[in-house]
Parts: sequence; structure tokens; C-alpha cells
Amino acid sequence: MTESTTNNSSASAYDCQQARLCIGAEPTVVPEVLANHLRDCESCAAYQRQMLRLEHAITRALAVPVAQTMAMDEARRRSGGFESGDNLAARRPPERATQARVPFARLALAASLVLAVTIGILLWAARPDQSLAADVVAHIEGEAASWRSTATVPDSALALVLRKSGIELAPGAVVSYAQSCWFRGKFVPHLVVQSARGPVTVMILPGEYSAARERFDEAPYTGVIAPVQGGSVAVLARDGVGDVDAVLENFLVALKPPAAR
Amino acid sequence: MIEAEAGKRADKGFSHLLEELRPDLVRFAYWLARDRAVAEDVVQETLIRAWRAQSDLKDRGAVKSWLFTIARREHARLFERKRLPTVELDELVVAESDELAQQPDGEWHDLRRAIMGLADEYREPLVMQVLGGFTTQEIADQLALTQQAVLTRLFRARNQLRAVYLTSDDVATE
Repeated sequence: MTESTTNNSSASAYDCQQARLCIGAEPTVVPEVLANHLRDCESCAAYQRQMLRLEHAITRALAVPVAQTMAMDEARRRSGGFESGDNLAARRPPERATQARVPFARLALAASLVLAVTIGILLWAARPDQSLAADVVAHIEGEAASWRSTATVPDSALALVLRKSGIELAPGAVVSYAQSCWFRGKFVPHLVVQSARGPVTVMILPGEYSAARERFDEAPYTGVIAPVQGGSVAVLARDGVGDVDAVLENFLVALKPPAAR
Repeated sequence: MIEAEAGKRADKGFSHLLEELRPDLVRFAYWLARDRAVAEDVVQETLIRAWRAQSDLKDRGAVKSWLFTIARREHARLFERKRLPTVELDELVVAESDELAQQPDGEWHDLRRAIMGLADEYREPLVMQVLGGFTTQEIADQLALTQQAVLTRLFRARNQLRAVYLTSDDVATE
């Protein structure tokens, strides 16, 4: 180790300690005073080369893969804005598009609202659990990448997700995706389980009560929402692939309600 | 009508900007929080605040540092508000390392683990600098430190990582 002596050169205003502090703090920045020192000090020059290599590695290491998450969708919903692309027009309620029209349009809007409310009440009476299924499907669509995961989520990571919702599962399921997602005002576990016939999504929904097992079909998703103690569990397959019923039965056995812990 | 159209276009442009920066924002929040779920919370709140305050952003070229600044505050606020339970570092590192280990680029696993193990006072300025692109003076302003203190923390952070990343041969050649 051959370090230059402190301030022993008129061309080097930095000593080795100052040079290394400068390199370590900002490896990619080389002010003239440091450059002067590096010309005279091979040891610090080697240190700088190491730090540049390290910097490249740190940059790569910090760039963790970012899974598709609900952050944007959820933030959009809560802020009432920043839809991107053409989805905005498609999802915006019809009345928003007519806001700039003349008073006649307002009358029409009022009449439409009355009609819409009436129809809504009728639909609600006829299919009381459909909205939960629709919300689940809407959420799943926002996390399309979840279906592509194949690596098994470690038990510790799965436990972290479940713990956020106060839920425990008996071990056994091969879970390839586990996120704690914001859904209807609370965090719920969103899992993808690898069944014998393909991936199946499971959402455990504490506080979302359903009276009986309900099947739904919202192309390309088919699934079932089943009541469990403290809420419901939704199990979905996409494009008809996946053993929804088998996964549901396994989950009903494996799910440990809060009272059982 | 024209103004409304212009507003829509501006909204759309800003929305695209947020979409583009979201991955970096998630990474930044993740390294601050060391927890993906907390990072998601931070990012959501950040995006909402950014959307609502977009008129405050005068220079769109500075949007990244602006978003990261909001995220850093949100992270601090979240901890303050929720008083999140403290987790033993070993437990956290094991849990998150498992998660990181399943990522395809496992070659960075040891270094990621080392970054995660850095004390907050070292990790935060490092992440702000490398991911956020903040200058040391900007970091000093945000963390209410002197620039010299920031330089020292960055130096110490990198030296801790250097001990993990570099081989003994590398160090011997010094």
C-alpha cells in the first residue's frame, strides 16, 4: 500500500484521506483538485477504479424488479384522476362527458340519473353479490403481471402479506404471487396459486360478507366467491384455465380464521 | 371548450410522466422502507399528492426529484402516523432477502442484502444520490445536515458495501 503523503505536492491540494472521502462520496465526480491527486497517487487511483466498479454494481443492485402493482390504479381511484391513455374515456361515467352541454342536457341528465338509480336498485335487488365479483375482477385486471409469476413465493414473504391482514394459512399451497393490495378500503392478500391446470388467483376478503357461495363469469374470468369466517374468499381462473374448485376447497381447509389463532 | 381540451391533454401528459417514473419511484420507496407493502403505500400517497399538486411543478424537467422528495416525506409521515412496528433487522433482512433471492438477477443478492443492512443514516443518502440523482447539497438540504456530513455518510456507506462486494484480491491490490 503506497499512499501519497499529505499535501506533499504543490499540484495535489488533497491528501489521501481527503481524496478518498471525495471518491467515496461521489465516485463519478472528479473535480480538478482530485484529478491532480490521482495523477500522483496510484493507490488512490486504484481506490477510485474500485469505487467506480462498486458504483456500477450499486446502481444495478438498487434497480430491483418492479412488479405490476395496484399503486397507480389505486391512486387514480382515490384521486379521481390521472387515467392514462384511452381507458379514461372508457371508464369515465357518462354524465362526466355531458357536463359542458346546455341546460337541456342537464334535464336529460337528471332524467337519466333517476332512470339509472331505478335500474341500479333493480339490479342490486336481483344480483346483490355481483358488485363484489366485479370489483375483484377489476382489481385483478390491474395486476395482469401476477398471472405470469411462476417462482414460488418464500413462506416468510407470504407470511408478511398475510400478517398485514391478520390472516394465517396452513402450509401447503404453491403460491407464485403474493401482494398485500388495497381493496375496498383495506389491505387484503392477493395471491396466485399454481394449480394442476394452471394459475388461479385467490383474494382473501376480510369484512366482505357473502351469504352463500356465488359463481360468476366475467370473461375472461370465471370464479367463485365463498363465505368464510370474517369475510369471503374469491377464487378466479382466467380463460378457463385452473382448478378453481380444488383451490377453493384447499383454501377453505387451510385458512385459519382470527379466532382460531 | 378549448381550455378544457388543453387541460385534458395536460392531464394526460402528466399522467404519462407519472407512469414512466413509477418504477423508479417504487424502487426508491422500497429502499427507503425496505418493505414492498410499505413502499406501495408510499407510492400511492405520493402519486395522489403529486397529481393534486401538479400545478406546483413549474419545471417538468425536475419532476423526478420533485416526486422523490414527496415520496421521502410520505415515507417519514407514514412512519410517524402509523407508528409502524419496528422489526428486528435480522428478521427483515431474511424476509426481504428471500424475496430478492427469487428475482432473476440473483447475482446482486449479496450486495442488495448489504444495502438493506445499512443503517438508515447511510442508506437514505445513498439511495437519494444513486436512484434519485440528488446532489450532495440537495441531500443535505432535505436531511437537514451539512454537506460535509452527507459526504461522510456517503463515503461510509460505500466503504461498508465495498467490504462486501470487492474480493480480498481487490483490496490487496490497493
